Amino acid sequence: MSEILLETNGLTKQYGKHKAVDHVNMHIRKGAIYGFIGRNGAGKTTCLRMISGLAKPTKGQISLFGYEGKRLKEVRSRIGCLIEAPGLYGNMTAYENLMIKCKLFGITQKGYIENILETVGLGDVGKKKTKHFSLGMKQRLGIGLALVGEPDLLVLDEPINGLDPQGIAEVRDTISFLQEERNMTVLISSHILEELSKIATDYGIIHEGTLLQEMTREELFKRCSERIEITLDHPEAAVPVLDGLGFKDYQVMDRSHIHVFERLNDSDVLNSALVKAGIPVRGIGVTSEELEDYFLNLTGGAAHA
Amino acid sequence: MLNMIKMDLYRMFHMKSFYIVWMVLAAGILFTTYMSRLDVETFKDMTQEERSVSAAEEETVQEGTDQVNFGMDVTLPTRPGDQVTLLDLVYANFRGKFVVLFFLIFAVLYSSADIGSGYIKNIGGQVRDRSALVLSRAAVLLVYTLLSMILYLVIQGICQRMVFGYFVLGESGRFWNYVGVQTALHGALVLIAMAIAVIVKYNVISMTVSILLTMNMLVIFYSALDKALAKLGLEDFHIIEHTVTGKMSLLSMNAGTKESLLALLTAAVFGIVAAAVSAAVFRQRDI
Repeated sequence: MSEILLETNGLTKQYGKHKAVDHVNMHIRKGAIYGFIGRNGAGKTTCLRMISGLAKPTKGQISLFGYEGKRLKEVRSRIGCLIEAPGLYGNMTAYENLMIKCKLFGITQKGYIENILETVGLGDVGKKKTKHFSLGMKQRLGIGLALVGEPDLLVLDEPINGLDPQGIAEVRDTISFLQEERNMTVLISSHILEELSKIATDYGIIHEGTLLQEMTREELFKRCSERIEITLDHPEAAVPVLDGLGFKDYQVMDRSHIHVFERLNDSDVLNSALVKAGIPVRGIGVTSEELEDYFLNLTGGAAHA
Repeated sequence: MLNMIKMDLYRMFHMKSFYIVWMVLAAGILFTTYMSRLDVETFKDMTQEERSVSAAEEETVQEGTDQVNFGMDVTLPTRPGDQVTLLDLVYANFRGKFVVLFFLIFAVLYSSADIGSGYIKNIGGQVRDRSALVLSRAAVLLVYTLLSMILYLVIQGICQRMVFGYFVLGESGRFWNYVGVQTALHGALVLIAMAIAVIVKYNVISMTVSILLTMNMLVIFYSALDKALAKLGLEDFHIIEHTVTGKMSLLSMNAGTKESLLALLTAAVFGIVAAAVSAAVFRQRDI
């Protein structure tokens, strides 16, 4: 298993009686692009704000680069973040906005700002004030600001929100470039699983403040791929039967479902064996899911995410 | 911390409002200087009887009185027949809190700019101690006070030459002592405005409160408190004499060492408390 760069343990944020984030245990591998998915109001931004040091957790721990508690502040500068809308001075140029943060980090290297502007595709904006930027340009400048100081972890909150397809593609390319070329770990939130699936290597699904699942890209695609889905009351009782029939690529999903990812034509054989073993089967069939449907089913319905 | 100050200085010099406030201040000073000349001329044309009535009416704003009224006024302390000195003009503007009004407007705009624009989110999580961000802007606002004070004196001198046709400084020792102590008081009030902006977060409210401070809004409150203290046996105690705004109004042109030191002490205490409170609030609060 790769080195864990960020880990949260029982991370909770409570506003009055409302728990915006409830005991979230998150694990982010070094070098991963971690897609943090949840509906609007699921607790994504609150979680990211706590990780970025902008909000204090009510309860729980954050471990970052192996540092936690009071020592966490020693590594705070290794996180770059873009939380909610990009915070920019509208009356200043992209260069000036970046220069402010460079001053904070004591960066005086010649060409540093130009390099960041090139990286995020804003190399040709010149002296245009940021208040005249399109939303996509602002988002990319926001990412540029997060890159100042060469952070090891980039935290991006809904960076593709409100962008047109062209803008989405540009932001996606920038993130992929940063991960591939600079080996940067990226934590990116969105409520659009389809978009995240194009770049993310790991996923965390949050709903109503609770982290429902964490999985790798392979696991997600496996869960959504074509499979035999068995619905029954006691999945654990079916495991010896599956083993006895020579099935190896299967997974007990929850208390009533088993997914079998091989020999998809053998569902009748499997059904007969389970019945013969005295295990009542409530349903069996070959099925698959779109990523978006998988997410919607997991978070409790088809309401728009 | 040094990097933070460099960052905040850069931010200040690149803010449009930094220059706009200076320009409006210059126009305002030209206006008050011109109005002062009209006052002087009107007074010169009055009969002795009319002068006595007018002086009685304006007694509360003349040098040496210890009353502070609600509102803002710029009235020269120059005696009839005397030449209007730069010290007279500076005294009138400082006492009326006309100059500090502009300082406070910029202090609020500057202190809330990164919060309002959301820029603070780009840096707030990456610093070791968030309260240092407030202390850094406090330091920069003191630099701003000093720069603006120098600029004000230059503009006031030019306006005096333009409007009155001559330039007379006044007694040098008294002038620099008065300006020095008032600079410290102006700096303290700027830090109080910064604290209000940081704590309240809402620009309009912070601006309103700061402007009302220059209008001596709190005299009503101080008066009620004085009466309450008098009932408890603390007679002849006037809170306003121990506040920054009170010291600004009551500091005399001939302030001696004791009066100057007390005013400096008041400025230091209020300035440090304002910076410390806003830093503590900023450190604790979520961004």
